[in-house]
Amino acid sequence: MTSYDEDLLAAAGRLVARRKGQRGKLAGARIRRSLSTSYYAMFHFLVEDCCVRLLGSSADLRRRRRVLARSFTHSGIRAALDKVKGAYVDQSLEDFLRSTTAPTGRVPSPAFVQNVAKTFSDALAKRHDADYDMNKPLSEADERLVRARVKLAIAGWRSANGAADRDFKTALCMLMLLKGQLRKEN
Amino acid sequence: MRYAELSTIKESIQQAVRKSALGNRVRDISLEADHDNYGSDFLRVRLDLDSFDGLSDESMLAVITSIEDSVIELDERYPSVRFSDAA
Repeated sequence: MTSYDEDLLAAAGRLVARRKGQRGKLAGARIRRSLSTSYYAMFHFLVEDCCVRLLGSSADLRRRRRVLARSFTHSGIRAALDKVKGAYVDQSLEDFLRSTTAPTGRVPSPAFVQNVAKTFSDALAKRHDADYDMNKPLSEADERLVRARVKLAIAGWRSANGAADRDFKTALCMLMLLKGQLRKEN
Repeated sequence: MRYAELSTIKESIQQAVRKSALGNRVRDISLEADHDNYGSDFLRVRLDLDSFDGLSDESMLAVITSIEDSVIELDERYPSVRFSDAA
């Protein structure tokens, strides 16, 4: 059985698939719909993965996971991911994201996390133009590259399964739910 | 927020592009600041290429990443890199 993100990416690909022998520019609507669908593949993948990490994968908990999923927002996920998109996590999150086995000092952001963070921001910015701003052109290359990038980012996240990776992902999922904000100490 | 002058950011993008597989295919680079429906600022970077011939998706994704990394060092706004349809 395919996952929802895989189904969305397949749908995005079908939107821009050419018939045999078809040439010329694709209709802008197909490019824009496809781009938007690829973004939603990234969004729903992260939400589903986070709900499983935070609540467990039992089938009995599906309804609870779907309730929790409604609490994730586009801007909240982006705000959290913005703080881990660089080589090191934002200093405000160091204590929260530091591994129990890591030394003191700056906390590096894992490469797969940086990739997810940049891909999410890229897809969100282009989805914004695709859905709301017809004055901003989007090319077939833009659509194709976002779709490819989303696939790679999801695959990278899925394959990062070491203990430190799992620990980082769970903490980051919590941060996405909290819209990137931790309460500051007085 | 850490914001840099657009001219400084554009110079950084030009350097990243010069070192990339795109090399001298780029006719023009445009850069504009904008904000999305959620109130966040971002940068829209558009590359005009002479041709896409022989360019793989991998090499274009590498250019996007290279531009992102160079801009992230200077400015907190996310640089969303786009390609114009080739002439």
